[in-house]
Amino acid sequence: MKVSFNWLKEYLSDAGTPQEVADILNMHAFEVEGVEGDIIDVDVLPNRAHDCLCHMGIAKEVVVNTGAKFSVPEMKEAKVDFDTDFKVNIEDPKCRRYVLREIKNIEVKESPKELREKLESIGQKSINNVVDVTNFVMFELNQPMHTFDTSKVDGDTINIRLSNKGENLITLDNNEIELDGETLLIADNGPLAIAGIKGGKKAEVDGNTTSIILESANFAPVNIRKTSNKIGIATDSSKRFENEITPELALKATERATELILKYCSTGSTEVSNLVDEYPRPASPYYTGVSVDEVNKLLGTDLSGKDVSEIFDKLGFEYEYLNTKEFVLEEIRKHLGKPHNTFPSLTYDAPREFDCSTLTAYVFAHGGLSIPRMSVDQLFFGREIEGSELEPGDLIFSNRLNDKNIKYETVEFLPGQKFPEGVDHVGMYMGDGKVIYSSKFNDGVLEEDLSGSKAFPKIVGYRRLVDKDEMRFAVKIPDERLDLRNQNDLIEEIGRVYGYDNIKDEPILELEPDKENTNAEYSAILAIKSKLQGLGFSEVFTSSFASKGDLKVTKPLAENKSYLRTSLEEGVRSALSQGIYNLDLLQQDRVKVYEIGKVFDNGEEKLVMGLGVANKAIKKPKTHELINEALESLGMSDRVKEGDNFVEIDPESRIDLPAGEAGNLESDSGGVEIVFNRDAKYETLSQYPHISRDVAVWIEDGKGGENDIYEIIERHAGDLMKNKRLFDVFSKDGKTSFAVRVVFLSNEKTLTDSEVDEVMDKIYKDLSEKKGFEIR
Amino acid sequence: MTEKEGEKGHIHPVTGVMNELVEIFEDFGFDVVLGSEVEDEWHNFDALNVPKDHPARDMQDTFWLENGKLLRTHTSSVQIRHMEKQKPPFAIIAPGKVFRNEATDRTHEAQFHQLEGLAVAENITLGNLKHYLNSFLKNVIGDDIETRLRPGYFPFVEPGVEIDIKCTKCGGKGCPTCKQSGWIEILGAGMVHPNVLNAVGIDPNKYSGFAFGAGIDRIAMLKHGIDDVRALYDGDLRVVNQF
Repeated sequence: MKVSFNWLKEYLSDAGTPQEVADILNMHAFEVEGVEGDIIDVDVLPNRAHDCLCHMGIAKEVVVNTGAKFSVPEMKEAKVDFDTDFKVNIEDPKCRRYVLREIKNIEVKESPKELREKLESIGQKSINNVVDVTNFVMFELNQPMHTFDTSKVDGDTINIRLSNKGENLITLDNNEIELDGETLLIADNGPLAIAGIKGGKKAEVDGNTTSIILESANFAPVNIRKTSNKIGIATDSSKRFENEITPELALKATERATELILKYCSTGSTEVSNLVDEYPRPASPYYTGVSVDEVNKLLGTDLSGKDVSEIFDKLGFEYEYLNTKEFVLEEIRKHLGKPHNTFPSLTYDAPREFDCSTLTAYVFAHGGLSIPRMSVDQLFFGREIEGSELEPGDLIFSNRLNDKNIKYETVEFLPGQKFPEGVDHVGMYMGDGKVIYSSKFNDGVLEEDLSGSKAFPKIVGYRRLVDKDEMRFAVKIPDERLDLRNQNDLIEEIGRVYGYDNIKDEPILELEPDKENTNAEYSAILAIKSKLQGLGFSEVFTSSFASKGDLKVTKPLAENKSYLRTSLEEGVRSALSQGIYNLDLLQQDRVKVYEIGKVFDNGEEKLVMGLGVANKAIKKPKTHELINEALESLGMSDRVKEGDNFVEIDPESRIDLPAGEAGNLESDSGGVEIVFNRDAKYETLSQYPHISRDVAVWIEDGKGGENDIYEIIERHAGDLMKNKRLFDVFSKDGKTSFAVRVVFLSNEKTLTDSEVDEVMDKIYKDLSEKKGFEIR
Repeated sequence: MTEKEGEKGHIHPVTGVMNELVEIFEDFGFDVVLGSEVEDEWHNFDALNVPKDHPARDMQDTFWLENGKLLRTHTSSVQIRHMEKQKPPFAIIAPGKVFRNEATDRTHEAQFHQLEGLAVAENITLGNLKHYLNSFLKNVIGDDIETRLRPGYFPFVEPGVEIDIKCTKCGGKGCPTCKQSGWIEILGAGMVHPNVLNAVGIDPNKYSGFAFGAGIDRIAMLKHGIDDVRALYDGDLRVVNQF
């Protein structure tokens, strides 16, 4: 996301320079892709898209990690001039909140310079003053907004409903979208917008608009993502909703947008309506916590409670450092008499209503300890104690018999662990034989004697969740920080603010090399590679994709890569022909290659080895002989017949490689060594073709040797020569014939024959003029 | 004849570098674990705290297969399978080929190799992670390198970190190799997310762990100056024979 430093500065004092801000963000919060002038390109990933795809979020991060001060104007509630007739009707829970405000008598025109420049600096197109205000608010606060021209909306109800099959919508950019039965819409008597993704043409705000409806809503993330993928439209709005933002933002954003519309779009007689706020299930603040010990245990630090407090203060968290056991005993009493509900949501229903395990989960979370939501999971989460050890604050689990909801295995905590006795109820021991719990049979939270309680007819376990003097930080998570949900999340906050560079390196004492455990398959493959290397075979890797096969890729990169390969043959043969083409460059007489890799034959994945040989300059040994020689060396019984130059073998079935035991290859390899130049400096390949020329010279004995030929070649060929090689030598009648192949190659252009011939002519001339030398 | 000279066999740079990395971790006491390239959604994503329909899935473009499975996008899937079977403590590395469905260019290939690692035991700390990864980088790049840890996000770790080394080309002054930043991203790592341990049946209240991932091709390119990753998967001996 592009972040404007000048924009950030409006919320910060002492912010430093763009580069300083970039460095701070990079080391404590987000990766910075680059800084260009005033613009910092910040890579905000899904964990922080909830709160930081906006300037205010980034500004907060700067404040946390520097001495900069926040200077944000308080949210102003607009003066209400009239009551709107519009109603909001949320038909589908995927709309979590819808805030509507009507604003009359405005003027739509080009945005003022200050607004336009801000948006343009971060790559946004300025549309008009109204649309720009809503965009500005999104990039300031992270809340996507939308506006409708009131005069174009039919009736007086804004419906948030699923589309009907067959309906369609023309988008603001004039694309017609056919809707299925699952698209969430904003509608009057027909579609006005695709919720959270794209506005429709029908109620578009344009130059003639004088009255608008302002929308600030919240939509469930999964539906937005699915719809956006389905209709192929992704917008800045859909990106924020699919990452999830808190519904708590909606009101603040509406007030902010109102303030700016009054500033930039007013006619002097502009009127603002009351707010229509449909928010069927408001979320409660989220609590979780951590102990100092847990922080130090995971980070390897030696922080004190004071250090942690200071970091939480910087982060602006509301928190308490408390004795969890004392806290829960006090807290749970506050909920006596609250109504019971079956499977209430910890986020949305508690603390208005509870069931047994939401009650315990709720009080522990507020005491700084997040525990699982269901009683069977709480049973496995806690430390087992005997009934005789029972202390106030411990949990008591029971099987209420005859209940439909008895659980015999864990659901969310270490899923699938068996508990044959069955459990369906939990309560908290309060001391003096008393227990507090919520039960549908009593219609609410109550305290009673444990003995004789109908809710505890069969006790199946006692668990301790915290020790008597355990102190924990109980943190009220800021609404927008949907990424902070458990103790590790808090530990990460502490770690990154503290600075990872301040954490000391430390070895794990019990970790020692254990050669016994070396992976047999890995060693065996390496042993094969080592052997083949000794035999002059070179290893290649080729594409795992092919034009034909059994397993099809749904979205291939290319038509000829639509399947997973069933064999290595195509790849190895292509390596052979490339090798033959480049033979002179490689300074070889033949090509011997192999690949060891996975193929997918009949849907089954297996590891195979493909060996190939291509002869060119010399014909013997024949290709099949070279392959058979390799197979024999590898201890494989397979053989190929005369004329063959490729074989594919499943090494596991041929070399006896039982899992966990050393195969015969490994046993005789005794610490396999491959030869590999760890310091090799790679030379970039030329993309132009090479040209080869041979030069053969008779030299009278005693008058010189190949080095004299090389010297002349090098003198004339210069940079155009890639390599040279003596490929034939023989003596006769007091003189010796030397044949040298010279390979020409440029990194800049395609060499022409005449260019090379010119060089060769000079070489011939010099050679022929040398005493005792004669060109053959 | 000079034939024998021309018949020297060469090891592919990915194998060579992979083996170098493996040997370093074997010396630290890590075991090698291998696994399959075709994976199911659970082992590649769900168990790694990357739920369906979550934007974090976009961080790894995936090759889906018509049978509903996928080509693993990382070797973390191998680690999930290991954790499902083994009780801690353990320290493993998983080298292997992985796949990403993204446009190819000089630094991106649809197939490449990763080395991922995982250590799970009681009381494993971020300090431990730093120790092993710093020692590893000193071994593979050089004793005089400078490293830094900064926050990163991978759904399967919490805290998540990225490890950079000071640019070996320009020494930190800024050059095209390090995109003028002076630093090169070399490893992604972090403390195993409690949801991941929970999903494979390891008690997150008792055990902790660190995990990391390194691109083998990327390290090979950096160490040897290879300028185009695609050259590694083309069966081209002009590349392989340089090693």
